[in-house]
Amino acid sequence: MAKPDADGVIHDIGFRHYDGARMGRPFVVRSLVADTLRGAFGIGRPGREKVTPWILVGCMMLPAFVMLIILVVGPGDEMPVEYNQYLIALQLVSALFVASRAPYALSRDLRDGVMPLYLSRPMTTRDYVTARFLGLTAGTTIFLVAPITLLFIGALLSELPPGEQITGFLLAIVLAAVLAVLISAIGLAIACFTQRRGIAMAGIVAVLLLTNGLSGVFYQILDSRGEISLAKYAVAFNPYGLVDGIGASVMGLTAGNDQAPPTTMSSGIIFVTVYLLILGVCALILGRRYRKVAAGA
Amino acid sequence: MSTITLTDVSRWFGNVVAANDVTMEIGPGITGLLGPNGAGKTTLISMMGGFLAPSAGTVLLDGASTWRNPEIYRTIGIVPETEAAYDMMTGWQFVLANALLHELEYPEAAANAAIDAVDMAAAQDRTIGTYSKGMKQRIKMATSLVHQPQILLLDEPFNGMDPRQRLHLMDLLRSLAADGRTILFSSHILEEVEVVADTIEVMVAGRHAASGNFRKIRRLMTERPHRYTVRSSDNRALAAAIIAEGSANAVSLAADRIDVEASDFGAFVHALPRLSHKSKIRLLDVTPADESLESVFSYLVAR
Amino acid sequence: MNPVIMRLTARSLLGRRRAILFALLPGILLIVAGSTRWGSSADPWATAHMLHNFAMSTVLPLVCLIIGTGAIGPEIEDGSIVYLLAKPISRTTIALSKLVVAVSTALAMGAVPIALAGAIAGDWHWKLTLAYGTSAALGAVAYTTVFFTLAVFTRNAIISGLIYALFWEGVIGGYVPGVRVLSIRQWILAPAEEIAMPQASTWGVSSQVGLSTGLVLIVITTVLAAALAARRLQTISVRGGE
Repeated sequence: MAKPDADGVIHDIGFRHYDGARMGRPFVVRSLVADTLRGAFGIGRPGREKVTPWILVGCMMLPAFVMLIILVVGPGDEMPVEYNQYLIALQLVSALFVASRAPYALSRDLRDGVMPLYLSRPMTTRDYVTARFLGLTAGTTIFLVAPITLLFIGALLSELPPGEQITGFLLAIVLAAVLAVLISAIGLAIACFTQRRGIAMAGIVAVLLLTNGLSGVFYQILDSRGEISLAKYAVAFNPYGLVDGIGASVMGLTAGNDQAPPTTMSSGIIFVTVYLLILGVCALILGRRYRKVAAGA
Repeated sequence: MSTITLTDVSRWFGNVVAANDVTMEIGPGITGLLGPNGAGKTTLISMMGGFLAPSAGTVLLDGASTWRNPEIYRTIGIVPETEAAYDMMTGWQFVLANALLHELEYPEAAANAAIDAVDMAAAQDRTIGTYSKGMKQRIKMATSLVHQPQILLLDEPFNGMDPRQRLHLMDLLRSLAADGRTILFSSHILEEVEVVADTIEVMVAGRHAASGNFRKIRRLMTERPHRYTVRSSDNRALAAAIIAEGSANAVSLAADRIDVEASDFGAFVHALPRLSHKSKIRLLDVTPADESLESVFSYLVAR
Repeated sequence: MNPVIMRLTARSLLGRRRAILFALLPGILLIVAGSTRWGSSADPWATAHMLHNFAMSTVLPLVCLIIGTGAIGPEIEDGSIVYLLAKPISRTTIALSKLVVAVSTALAMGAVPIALAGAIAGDWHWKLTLAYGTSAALGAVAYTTVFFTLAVFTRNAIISGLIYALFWEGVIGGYVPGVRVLSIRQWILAPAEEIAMPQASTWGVSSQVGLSTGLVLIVITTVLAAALAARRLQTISVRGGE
């Protein structure tokens, strides 16, 4: 609005007010989820950022691809490995994937100090964390499901009985989601503590992989002490073993671990409880950390 | 007394030419490197500081190349652009460490002197993490001064400083220059350069556009011929009249307009209506051509 | 060797959250060692198994990765390396000073705990302790230097190091014969096998390369990596921030 004055005039340079529809919180959250998901694979980012995730995708898919070839071309008509077992066998790769993508979801924003920008939108702190978590979990699930889909295709192509293959495949997808939720939660809980991607990565790898070694050792110890039944619960120390145990007890799948976890009803309950406990702890950690961030922002 | 000499220096990054055939000599006194953002100032300073190699040409410090030559840092002090990241150290410890790294004979005395020069003695025992942005800038200055360098290179040193700190820094630079040192700082703000620098080197789009005394450059800029585009009912006749009248340097006739170049634009602007009235030609449009800083500088470059 | 640089490096290495991580890892290792002893009643076979598959394959590379990249990575990333580079000090001195600190820390936080773990978990005439202690010491030198150089060259040093140590040496090394020769882990295990003779096979201490081959490769790799790092520091472009 022009305001004529003795020495100066303010001109209307065309600032427009936006009076149209505003999309609201759900849209904001959905957008952030989509952005996190895309960022997990480097889509929409410069080429440099695509390298790591896609190398890992390649590593994850390669053995599945090889198995597919063997299945189709080879003489046997048995699946070399069960769908869910594949996930456990390649835990290293998925651990690296989460380890490198979780910091991208959280540490970067903390480091660049852009949290105030996020939190000044119609989106609460909880929304932010949830959105990041959902995005990362979705990305990880896709990461896990892709290779077993390849295996499934191989099974179909080599004309294995489809009935049991389909059940196995679908149950494995569910298990993949269960696994993705767990390792993403753990990854984010660690990543939110530091602004440096590298440290977060190393920390997540340490937790996801060292626990494997630990559970192996505990198994050995309990086993040689004669506590076989207790030993079988050692897998719970390791996120992959835990999910494997859930798969074995609750869904009746064959375990991927050598240290065959128990498959009774009670063991199923124990495993699920531990699973939920870990998730709860991660949620608590993230909540407290981001409350502090929001207070400081 | 030290001099940095750039001879036909060019630097490109892939397809982007950051510095294009730059020749200049930076001698004792304060030199301001002036230019809009992206003009290549940081590139030049990086090359002078030995952190970037020229793609062509030579950058010499008293005859020795600056590239791959750590010895130059005895003579050069650099105020880096990065934020001082040693947050866990106190200001004093940090400056002292720098003094030790320079292998000075009396590192503590040098550190003290440097910290006093930037007026940080009061805060020197606090950790750098607790400093404000301006304080961090000053500690950075102290680290670059601690070895009493003959040459000081500063990349946008006044960035983010409040007026009081700016004045303080300007005083500091002047006193350093009075000792015969060579000081080069870059800026995109004319006023900063105007107040402090003896010599100005102007960079535009990688080219060395102008150099010399500030007042001379200013005059060059205002005395440059101004260009006008004139549309009238009879361009040809009007063009002839303008040339005959004499206040224009050059007149060219295009399809539907006249392009006029007049160095004395005051006289031209007064003459034009008289001319058109006398010749009974109607003026339809008189527009001064492109007055941007870019055109000013490109005029300077063309010279 | 410049003591100021060494002090600065030590300070930045040991003073951050990074330090928590590479203090925690040996701690966990020692707990595992203790548990192994309790569980296996100090059977050397179990000790060798734990050391070979847990300590050497996971703990050591991780510790060396965190320390090696931590000695120079953060400074390059935020541009504060310029304070070291804008000094009349040769780049070789800078690289070596930092490396000395990094390798010493890796020896203290990686090699020593591994040797201790061997002793705690149950040994036979100190053989395993000596064998794996030596391997870990060599590994501390080789891994740390290689990861240090990696950090000088790329910002993705940690993930690259992880992929190398865990995937290349671990997984691929298990399936592709040729790869095993190109693996630091195999080189440093060679002396272990030698020292653990003649029980090496019973205990499962083995390496895919001979002793002399392994040692030569370790030396070459370490020296080459250090030289590359020093060379790269001469031409590194300093840019602040991300």
